[in-house]
Amino acid sequence: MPPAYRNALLLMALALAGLGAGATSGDDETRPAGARIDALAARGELRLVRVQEDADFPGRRHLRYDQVVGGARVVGAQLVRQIDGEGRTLSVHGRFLEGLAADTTPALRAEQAARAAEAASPWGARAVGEPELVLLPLPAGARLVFALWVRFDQNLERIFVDARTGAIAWRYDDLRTEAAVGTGTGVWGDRKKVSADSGPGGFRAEDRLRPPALTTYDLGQSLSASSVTFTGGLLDPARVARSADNNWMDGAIVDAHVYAGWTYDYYFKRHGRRGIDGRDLPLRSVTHFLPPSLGFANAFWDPFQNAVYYGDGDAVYAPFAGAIDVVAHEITHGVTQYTWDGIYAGESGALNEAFSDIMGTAAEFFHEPAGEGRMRADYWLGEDLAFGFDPPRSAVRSMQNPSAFCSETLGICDPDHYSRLYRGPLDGGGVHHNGGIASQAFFLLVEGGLNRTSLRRVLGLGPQHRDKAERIFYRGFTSYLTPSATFADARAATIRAALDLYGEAEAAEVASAWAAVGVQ
Amino acid sequence: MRRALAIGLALLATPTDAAAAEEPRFVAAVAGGALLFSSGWSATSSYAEFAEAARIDAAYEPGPGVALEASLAMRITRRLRLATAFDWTRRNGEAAIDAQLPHPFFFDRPRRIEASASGLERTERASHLDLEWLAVEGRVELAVFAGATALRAEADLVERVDYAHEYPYDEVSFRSVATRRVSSDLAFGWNAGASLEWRFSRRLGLALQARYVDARPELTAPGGETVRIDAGGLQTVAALRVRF
Repeated sequence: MPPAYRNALLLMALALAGLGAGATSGDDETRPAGARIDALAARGELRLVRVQEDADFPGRRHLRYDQVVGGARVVGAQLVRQIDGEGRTLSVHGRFLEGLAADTTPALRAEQAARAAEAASPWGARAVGEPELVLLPLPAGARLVFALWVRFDQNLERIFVDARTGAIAWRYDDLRTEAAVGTGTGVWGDRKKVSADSGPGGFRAEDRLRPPALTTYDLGQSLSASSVTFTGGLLDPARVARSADNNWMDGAIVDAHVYAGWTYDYYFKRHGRRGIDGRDLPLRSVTHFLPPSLGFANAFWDPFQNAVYYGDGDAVYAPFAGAIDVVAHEITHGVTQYTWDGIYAGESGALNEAFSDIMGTAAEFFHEPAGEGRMRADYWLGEDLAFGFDPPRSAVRSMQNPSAFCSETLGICDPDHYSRLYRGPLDGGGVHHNGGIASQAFFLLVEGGLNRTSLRRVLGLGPQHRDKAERIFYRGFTSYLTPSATFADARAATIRAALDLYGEAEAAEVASAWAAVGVQ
Repeated sequence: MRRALAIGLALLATPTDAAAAEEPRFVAAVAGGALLFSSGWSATSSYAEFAEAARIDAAYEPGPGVALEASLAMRITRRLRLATAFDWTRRNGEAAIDAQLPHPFFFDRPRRIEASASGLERTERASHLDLEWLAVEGRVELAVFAGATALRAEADLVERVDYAHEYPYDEVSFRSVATRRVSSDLAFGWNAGASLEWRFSRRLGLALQARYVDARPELTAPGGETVRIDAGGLQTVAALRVRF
């Protein structure tokens, strides 16, 4: 609660105490207090405004009454009466101001009061909602006022305008800090809910609703901020992305923040995992990394900051946060880091990449409908990122047909079979390319089909059992692999996981999938 | 004591026929009784939550209630009376609630709660202006009446569902409902009924009366939706009538 609001409450309490006989009663006084409420309600001095069932004691109810004088509510004067199932009064709490009488005929109209409040606020202030004619108890006496809210910049104030003179009788900051769900527009123009944090300065991209802190930063494409943040290892809290009205329009920020939450959800719901370390370690997303002139069309996992960095793309690619498979891929590197921690070179590096592709695609299928097109789940990687959606040209890899992607630098196409493993020195021993072998095995396990190199056919578990394949690979990789794992180790680990989780039939399908890609 | 009782009975037993020529012109009555049935109705409330609209569909089923009435009638011909009556009814009812509560993370994935709320009060104040047709046979008077009704209703409407949920927020567990009492504007309708009176004396009588009231006031549910309800219903009362 902001200090201003606490002060407001304090002032109100003093005013109420000063004006009169607070009618708070305990259990020993409940019967006469209940009868008195009935009498006051019958006379129109109390107005029942809310009835609340008691969640702890079935049958009990809590009735809230506003004090009313001449049709005007008295600010802060409310009684709450607890009754049992038979209507007997069990307790009465609150404040009722005795002897309060006032002429409740305003000299101003509500619109005039709204204009007066706006005029007494910073430029651009706007009254929101309908002004309410109320009696405001102040130490000097009760004043007939219009109560209304005024919004300006990133503030929301409660203002009480004297209904006779138009003067400001009282005002306080009414913006409370709490978790707030707003809306956002993603990179591709889609609307999403954004779980944010609200405070006096507006809204910050900090997810307060999920168990770990998920925070999204905005480096503003600044070279110096990018340098300080990445090279210097300093994530400046002032760089947390903000919105004035919780309506987020920066697609990169929206997608980085929302997809990080969705990835957490995927791991929690599918695998029971609580974040990258399994214990809700905070996760950061860093957007607008580097200036556009540098054309950083990539995303990466920073193992020291537990952060994913997203570039804003180039002439071909949109901001890299705009695809959930990419976001989940990078976050999965964090999961790998806290589980089997595969060495990022050679076969273990390829498995590291493959596991990220597999989990990234799994998260995509979890949250998006299967099909062709943008924001549809498929077995392309990063297919949503290019401005022109035209896979394979607009994608970066394929699990269904890895060899559709060829590298001029390495002089190879991504292998779909172990016999085609790239063994050269580039790309860490081909980590991004050789991963296609394990990815193809996963694809065949889910969908079944033919491996183009071995021509071996796999029956597969079927897309309706996609969850089984995902659990098998997740368990195999995170529970049984070690940092120097090989493809043969991955085969053994996933067969073991299939036996753990399901049985011989599933384990046989896993073995068949690996056999099709030449891993025995 | 016995003598006083005898005098009292004698007064009550005074033949009405004897005074028929000078029948009092006005009849005042107070009555109390039961509200036998009234129609259920539905209303939808909505409010913003998690950047989406929460929707609460509530089917209200009013229970039986009590009815009080005061009336004044003026004889205008031998067989016709002009009557005005004011009645007040109250009943407690229940509501079956079907709430769709927005998910904090996703659009169009509402969490659903089915629950019920009880103790929902509805009161109505009605004024009737009726023309009564009379048939008198000895001490018994039959009156059949019909006329216009002006009615104002006040009802507890379900405003909000309180629930518990925890991450991942896909399910919610019901805790309670919060209600708000709302009032209608004045609505006009009609009423009709009949009464059968046993006259103890020239001035006193005891009547049984049934009145059906039909009016459709408009209530504004929390969230702004307006709904017309079938107010009134069938009420039966016992009335003490005094002529003067």
